Amino acid sequence: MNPDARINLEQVSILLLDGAVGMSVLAQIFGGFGARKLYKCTTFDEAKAVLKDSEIDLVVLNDEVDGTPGHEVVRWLRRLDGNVNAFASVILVGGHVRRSQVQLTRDCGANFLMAKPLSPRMVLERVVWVSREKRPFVGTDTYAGPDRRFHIPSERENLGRRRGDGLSPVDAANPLLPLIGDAKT
Amino acid sequence: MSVVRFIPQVNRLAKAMAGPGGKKASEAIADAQAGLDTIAPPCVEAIDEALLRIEAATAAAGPLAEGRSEAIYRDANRIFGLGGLFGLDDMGKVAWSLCELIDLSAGTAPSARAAIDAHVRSLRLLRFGALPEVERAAVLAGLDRLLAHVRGEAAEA
Repeated sequence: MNPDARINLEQVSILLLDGAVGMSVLAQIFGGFGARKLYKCTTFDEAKAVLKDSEIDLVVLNDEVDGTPGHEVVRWLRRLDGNVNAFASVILVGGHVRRSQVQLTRDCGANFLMAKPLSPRMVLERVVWVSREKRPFVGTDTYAGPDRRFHIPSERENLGRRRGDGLSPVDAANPLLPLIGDAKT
Repeated sequence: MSVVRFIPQVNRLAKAMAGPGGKKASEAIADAQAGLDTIAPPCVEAIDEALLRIEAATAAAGPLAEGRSEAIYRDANRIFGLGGLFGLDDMGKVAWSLCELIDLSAGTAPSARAAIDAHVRSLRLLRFGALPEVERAAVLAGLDRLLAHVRGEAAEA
C-alpha cells in the first residue's frame, strides 16, 4: 500500500461486532484510521437492532461472538429482504477455524475472511480491497452474497492470451482467494 | 433447479470513502498502532487470564470432556488472536497449535492429552520463562513435531 495514499473513513458507517476485548482492539484500529461513525456491538442482538435501523457501509465481525458463529450473523444479514444492509461490505475476522466450520465460514457471504492476528496495516489493506470490489451480488436458495466466481487481475494479463488459458494460475489454484486469503486453516 | 439472481450493486463503502478529508495511509496505520499501544496492558492481562483458565481446565489427568475441551479451545483461540498483536507471537503460535490439536483429535488420538499438556506448559514457559531466542525456537519446533505426530494418529484413527 502506498503510504501516501489518502484514506477517508470519516463518513463511513461501520458496525463492529466482537466481544469486549476484541471490540477494544477493533475500536482502536478503526478509530486510528479516522472512522467516526462506529457502532460497537458486543452481542448479535445489539447488531441486529443496529442493522435493522441504520444504514451501514461496512460490517467487521469476529467469527464467534457471544456464542454465535460469525457465519450465522452474515447469513442472517444477507437475507434481510428490503434492507440495504443486506448488501453491506462484510469482513469476517477469524482465528483458528475448526475443520467443521471452514466451508460454512467460506460460503457465508462475507466479502473477505481476515485471519488473526490482526495488524493495522493488514486491516487497512483489506478495507481498501473491499472498497474496490465490483462483484455483483448473487442470490440462490443456498447462498446470498458477493459472486464467488471472480477474477483476480495478474501481471500476466498484459502478456496476451495463451493457448488453453481460461483462468489465470492464481484463479485456478485458489478461486476463492479473497474469501480465504488470510485463513490459516 | 435452483434459481440464481444476479443483483448489481453500488459499492457503498467506496462511495462513503470517496469524499474529501481523511489521512495518509501511513498516518492511519501509525495512529491505529498508537491506539493499540494504549490498550496493551488489559489485553495482555486477558491473555494471562485465558492461560490460567486453560491451566485450571487441564489440571486433572485423563481425557478431556467435550465441554472442557471447548472451553480450552476458545481460550487458546483468544490467546492466538491477541498474542501476535501485543508482542507475544510465540504464545500465539502455540495457542494456534493447541486449537489445532483439540480440533484434530477431539481427545481420540492416543497422544492428544500429553500433547495438550505439553502445549499448556509451553505457553507458561514462553510467557514467563525469559528464554533466549534459540530456546524459544526449540520449544516451537518441538511442539510442531508433536502436532505432526498427533495429526498422523488422527489420520489413522
